[in-house]
Amino acid sequence: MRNALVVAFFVAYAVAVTYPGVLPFNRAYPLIAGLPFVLAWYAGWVVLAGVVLFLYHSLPDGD
Amino acid sequence: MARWQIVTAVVAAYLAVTLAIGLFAGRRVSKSVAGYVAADRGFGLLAMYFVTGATIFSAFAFLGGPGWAYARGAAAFYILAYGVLGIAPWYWIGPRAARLGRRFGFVTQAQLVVGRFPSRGLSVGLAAVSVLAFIPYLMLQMSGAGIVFEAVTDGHVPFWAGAAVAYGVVLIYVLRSGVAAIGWTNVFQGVFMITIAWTLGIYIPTTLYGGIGPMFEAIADARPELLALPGLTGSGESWTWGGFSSAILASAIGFLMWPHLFMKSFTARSDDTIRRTVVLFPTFQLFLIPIFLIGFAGVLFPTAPPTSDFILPHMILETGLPALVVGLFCAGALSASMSTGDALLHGAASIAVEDGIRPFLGLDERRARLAMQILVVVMGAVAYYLAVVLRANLVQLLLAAYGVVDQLAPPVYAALLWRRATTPGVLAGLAGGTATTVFFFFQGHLRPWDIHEGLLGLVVNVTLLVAVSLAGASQEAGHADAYVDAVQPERGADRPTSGATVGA
Repeated sequence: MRNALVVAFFVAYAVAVTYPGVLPFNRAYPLIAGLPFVLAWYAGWVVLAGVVLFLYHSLPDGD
Repeated sequence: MARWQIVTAVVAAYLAVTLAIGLFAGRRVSKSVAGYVAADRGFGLLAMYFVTGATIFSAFAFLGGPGWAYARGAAAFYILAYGVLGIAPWYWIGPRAARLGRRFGFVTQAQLVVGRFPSRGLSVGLAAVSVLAFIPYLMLQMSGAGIVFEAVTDGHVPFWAGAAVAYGVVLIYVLRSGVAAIGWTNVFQGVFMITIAWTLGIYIPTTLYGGIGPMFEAIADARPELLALPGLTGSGESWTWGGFSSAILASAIGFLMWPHLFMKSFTARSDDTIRRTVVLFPTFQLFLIPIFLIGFAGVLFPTAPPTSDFILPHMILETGLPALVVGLFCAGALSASMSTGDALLHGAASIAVEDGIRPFLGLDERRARLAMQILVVVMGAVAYYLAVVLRANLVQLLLAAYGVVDQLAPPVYAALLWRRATTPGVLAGLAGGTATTVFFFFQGHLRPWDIHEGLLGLVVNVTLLVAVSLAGASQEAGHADAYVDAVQPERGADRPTSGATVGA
């Protein structure tokens, strides 16, 4: 179950950072922490991936 | 003292410290091939984290990235996107490779693949593909060193001399100590890179625009096309979605397949070390953001550098920072380049000997190690010569190399995941995929939707691998078991397991 979830996450990641998944987020405003929205979108997915990997690594098998 | 003299002095001090660390590290490692190539399999988490991060982040990220942000805007964001996607599979593949390495004595990626698909031709083919991909990657590191030196010494240390000095140092410690030198110098270099990136990435936009937000507001006003995906091409036209998306996918697929990175699986002290490195990797990845900011800071700046690859040193110099800081930046950029270049040089030579030569000539340990050292010098010289003569764009060099590296993915994944794969299948796929990639590299205008040639090669590669495997007889019963059998991860284990594969 854990494995299916983490794979689903990375599929979602791939969709969110390429065409056409990223289209709705492809804009400069609003700035997030001073960064253009689209750059913050990518940064956010990197941070999220770190969290997901950390949880996957730390939580016991069976979800 | 003139600024450039102070800068040179700081850099000389940095190179001396790096060299000292690199030479000292060699003392504790055995003189065998396993010692030279895999540091007796003893790297803990700290070294592993910095080796991985510093190996991955190179002149490509440190100079090429901001160069793209400066000239091509949001196109540079593809670099931020693919790293995490690319390293994630290592969480599962890395420990499996490590276990096979401990069991069968593998020190290179090709040995693992050829263990599963016995064929000397395949071994040489993999070695050739690897070396082919390594050369442009190494070239771009040497170019990066040359660029930094030339820019920050106001031309007193020209491109060819800067590249030669930096890589002379690398050559010495790689020859002397092999991969152990790489580990500890990378810890030093990794810390340097991250500190420089974050401090300058915040300082420069703040000094020039009053803050990061104000900087982007100004850019959104004057040059909005830079902040919208897919950004621009090198000549200032709009890039394509196909090009942008496929750059991400091609780089993500190939990321783990870089032989010098993959073979780090064999140097880890335990499986958990590899997994923890993957979990921590996104933290390293985020340092791309301040680096991009420095590139963006150049967009509305009154003066321009000779090429976009020079934007980072250009901004450092133009914003009137003290010579000491300029010197430290230069050391940081050199760290980025050298910490990857050393792994490339070492990896290319090890692979050429272990996978290209040893299957044909029985070399004893001493001669094999000597052959590797000779090849380190030869390959370094070839890459140096090409770097000085061709002076190509840093990001484009790597993106091109990825097309070739991508072709290593089907053999590796087939070895570890597909029982029905056969040796002829893998050979056919590798040959067909590489040929396709090279074809579309030279006939770029023929690529549908501007898709990266590596992905086109993969289509052919996988199709041939599957078709030829299924068309022929399967491998001997039980042969694939050691490679494919799902082995449960050992939780929290910090000691190497014994030879047998173990279920949890």
